[in-house]
Amino acid sequence: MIELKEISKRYGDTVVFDRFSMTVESGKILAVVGNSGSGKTTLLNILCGLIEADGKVFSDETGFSYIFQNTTLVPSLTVKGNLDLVLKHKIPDRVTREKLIGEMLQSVELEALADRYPLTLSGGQAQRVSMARAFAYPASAILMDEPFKGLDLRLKAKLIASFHALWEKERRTVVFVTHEIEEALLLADRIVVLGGAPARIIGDFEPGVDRASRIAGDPRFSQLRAEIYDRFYREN
Amino acid sequence: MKQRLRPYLNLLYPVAAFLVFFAVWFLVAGIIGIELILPTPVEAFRRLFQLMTESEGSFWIALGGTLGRTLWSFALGYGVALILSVVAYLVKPVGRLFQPIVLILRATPTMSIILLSLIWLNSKTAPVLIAFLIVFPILYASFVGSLEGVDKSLIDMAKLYRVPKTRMIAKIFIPSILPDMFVAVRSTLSLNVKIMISAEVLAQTVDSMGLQMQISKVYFDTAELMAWTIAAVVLSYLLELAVESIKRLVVRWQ
Repeated sequence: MIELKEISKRYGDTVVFDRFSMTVESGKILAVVGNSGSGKTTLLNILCGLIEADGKVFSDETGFSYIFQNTTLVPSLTVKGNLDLVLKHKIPDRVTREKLIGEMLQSVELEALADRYPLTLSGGQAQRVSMARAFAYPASAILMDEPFKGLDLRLKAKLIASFHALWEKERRTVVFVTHEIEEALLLADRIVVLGGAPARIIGDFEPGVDRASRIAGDPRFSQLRAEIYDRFYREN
Repeated sequence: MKQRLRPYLNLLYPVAAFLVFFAVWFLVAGIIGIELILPTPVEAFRRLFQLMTESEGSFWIALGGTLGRTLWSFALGYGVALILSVVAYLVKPVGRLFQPIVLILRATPTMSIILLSLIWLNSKTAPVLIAFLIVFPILYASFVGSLEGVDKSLIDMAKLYRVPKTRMIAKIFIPSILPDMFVAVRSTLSLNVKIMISAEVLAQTVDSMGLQMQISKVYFDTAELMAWTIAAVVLSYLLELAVESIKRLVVRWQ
């Protein structure tokens, strides 16, 4: 579980968070929905300690993986090399490490591109490598910063399916920030809507409908969607 | 079709440029008609061949001397620039301290550096110091720029995944700055050859291309002066080619 308690953060005169509190349940996918500039990325960076803020962050997670918006693959390393970079100090045995890398790349259907450099990959392929890296890294929590942004619908659906397949194997704690309500609805166990400045929680929803029914368009799900849209646009 | 012709087209442009250059040279030399002022390219190349095949091998000794000093001063400039730029990047106050010093070095007239070095040092070491002092600030500025240009998100990613610092340097920092470094090396190496020869001319350095050029000038042997000039251009070109080849081997991901 991760708990943010009375977090405050400002950039110059802009107050992003003022005594903001939130909890993240272990083994669940939490989506944080908010407009651009609402503090979503700052929230993720505070959670994993990349930036400091006033207040307290309690966590019993064993480390964090991060799926960044811009993939952050090292251009001079191959696909395999990018995974190896973050794993070598965690899994010193080369054979075990290579086996894991192979399995992860297979999970995202990229084993054939293992020796390619990131500059030769498409946006979707690069994002899948970033996803494989996050799942290969031995951390109990994964943070995702708008990982599907700028991708076309078909690719987005494929990536979401890849994500689910990986997550179902080993249910880790996931905090996923996005400004796309549809993405949150498809993925999350809980959806938190951010609004206002400084940011505060203006809505907290639990879909309670399994993912297959969501895709099939369950009426309860459609009602929830309408509720979230209403809250989001009324407050933002 | 166009794709298949590309290698030939790539070759065609430099060949055409050379042909135009030599045609103009030939034409101007023909119009002037005095070999003492401007010999024809044929005469310059004939003289170059003569120098290269001389039994005492003084051409190769002079070329080797200049090349050795060029590489030595360049290695010195490169090494010092690299170390200081890393220090400046890691320790920001030190970087600020270096900034005005490098600025002064860049702004100092080349001739002042040359003349002062000639007063302070002997004819063999002065050209090395001169080339070093001119090349160092250029390389330093380039390296600092490259280090500051390293993608911050990659550094954040490595920190988040707790990648050890040594591995971060080897796998992220060095590869990130390598392409820019090669560009800087390529351009400053040619500059280094030019500065070295100028310094050798003024310092009268024994076993140097600069001294040979000066002797040619004293004896009004313009054809030989042109021959040495061609040798210097070829030397610069070969050095650039060597750097480019190493870059292709090292920077494979681009």
